[in-house]
Amino acid sequence: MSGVRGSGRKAGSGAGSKRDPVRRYVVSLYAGKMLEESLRFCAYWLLFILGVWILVGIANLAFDLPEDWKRAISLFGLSVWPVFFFSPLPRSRCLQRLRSVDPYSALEAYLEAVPAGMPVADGTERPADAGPDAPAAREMVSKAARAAMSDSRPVFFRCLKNPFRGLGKAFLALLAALCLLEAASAAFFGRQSWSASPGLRGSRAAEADALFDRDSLSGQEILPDPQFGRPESPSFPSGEENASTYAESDGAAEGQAGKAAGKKVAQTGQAGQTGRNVPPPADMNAAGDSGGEGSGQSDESAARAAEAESGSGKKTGDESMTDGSGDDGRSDDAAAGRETTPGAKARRGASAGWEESGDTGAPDALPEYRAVFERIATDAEGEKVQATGAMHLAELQELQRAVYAGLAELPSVDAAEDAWAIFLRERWVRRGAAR
Amino acid sequence: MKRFRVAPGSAQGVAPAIVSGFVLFAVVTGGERLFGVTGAAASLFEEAMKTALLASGMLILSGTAGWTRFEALGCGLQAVALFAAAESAAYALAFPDAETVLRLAWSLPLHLGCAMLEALGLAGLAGRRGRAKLPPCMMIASAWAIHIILNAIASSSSRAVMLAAMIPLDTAFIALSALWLRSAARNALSDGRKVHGGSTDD
Repeated sequence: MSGVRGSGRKAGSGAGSKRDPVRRYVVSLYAGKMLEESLRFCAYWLLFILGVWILVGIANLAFDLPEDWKRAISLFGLSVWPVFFFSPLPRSRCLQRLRSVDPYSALEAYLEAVPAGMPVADGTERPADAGPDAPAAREMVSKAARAAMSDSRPVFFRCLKNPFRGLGKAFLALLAALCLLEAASAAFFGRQSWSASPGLRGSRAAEADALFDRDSLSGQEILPDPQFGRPESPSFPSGEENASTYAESDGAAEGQAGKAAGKKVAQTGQAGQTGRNVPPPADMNAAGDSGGEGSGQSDESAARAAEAESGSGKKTGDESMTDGSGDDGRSDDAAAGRETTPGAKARRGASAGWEESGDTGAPDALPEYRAVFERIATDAEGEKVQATGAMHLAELQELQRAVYAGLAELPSVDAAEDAWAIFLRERWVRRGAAR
Repeated sequence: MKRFRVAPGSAQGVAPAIVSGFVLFAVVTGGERLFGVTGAAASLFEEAMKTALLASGMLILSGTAGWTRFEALGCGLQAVALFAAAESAAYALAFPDAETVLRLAWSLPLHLGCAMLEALGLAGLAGRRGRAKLPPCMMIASAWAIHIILNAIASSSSRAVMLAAMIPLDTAFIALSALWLRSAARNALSDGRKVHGGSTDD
């Protein structure tokens, strides 16, 4: 000891003090190791995320999965990062390596490297006989190491142990900034994708709300009338009103014949739109009601409408509802000599009831909204509420608004609402037939 | 009880988290369907299941596999993270649109934040309280209450309110993560003290 400590050392600068070069050496040893382990931890974390994304990419590319499943797998990959964060595996490895630092042997090596006569701790000269094995040197190292560890550990773990002080604040601020960035980017990209989505035009949500006062519908169950009437929501216009609207506004000659006929015209007019927001030509309505010559219609849906109309006798709407099962439709298809492939049937609409009624496949009217309609109707009946967790209701309301926003872009608001009512009705029939 | 040795730092150490995460998802969704619980009751059910998973994991892994308390609870938190990821995936299947990405910034902090509070409470119940300001039982109860409140916000408020609530939620999640790491580091330092014989300021 005496050989190491000199007489001229300043107060507070001996072994164990913060100015002690031995102690500073130990602290720097730990600091370097801590930095190394932190970087290693981050690298492992990035590798984990990268690995997950490679697996997600392989799964999406290698298997012919439906688009929904691909999205779900991608989302799963995006949300598993905390698995690494909370894993005891990397943390214990890092801490293990930290604990494996042996300051004694490191200091011994340090002392060995200092030639005799050179200044060591506190500026004193290292005596020739003060090798690493000398009791004085060991005592010095031991003291310095203990002091350094007690002093340096808070330095290394300050951000973890005291997150609200000193370096911990910087750590928290950095994480908060990252979190805000994540939220902002999620909001931005989410909004972008939402706007770009063909069937869900969120930018029109406010307009739709203003038009329909849809907030009053939020959270309500929109169920169809068991008697195949319109949904019970007061916001939906009655069939009579709708029929008169269409009979008057479309100006079709046949539509003027009466309210019931006018309603048919409205449904047929929607069928011809194919979801591309193309205003229904006036002659489409006329053609739909007059037996489907298809005059003046150039698009495929109009041709299908004419095809569906031809050769089949008309039934009333209610009649078609009551026998509107798929099986019935198949036999009628064969009798009418129409294409009976599944694809053709799907194009003509999922509900054979409407199809057979000569309404030219009314459910085909809004194919891009159909999936959304299906989800909303299903959710409104409480079938998926439990499966999808806490956010369900808010998301459902958003979806409802988005759908209404999309509907508002149709040339006729009433037509859009009528499509929704038709959808609900034919769905009700389908479910009834299934029972 | 026969002791089995699974090192927390081994590949086998991740297996309990993976299995229990998916089991938790199946139990929660199945239970909610079976009992028809909704709203606040559903939140309570989820949190009760998560607390049960964390407690049982801590008892089993620290009792028979020789893990430290925080290593076992960390494994439980991994399971909760997988549960949240599975729920997000299920949600994406039910509602395949971009909103599900935004939902991540809400649901992950909610699930993991509540689970961390429960884990800290359970760690306090199992050992010394340390410097925790809240009693352990209060931490667990507050986790349950937070889930109910945030669910109510998500279900009844507009998007703007939800986005505004997302910032304090995510910040609280970060603070909780820091608290968790701090506790885990203290725990590890206690082990370190035995190794080196050095003193710490804990």
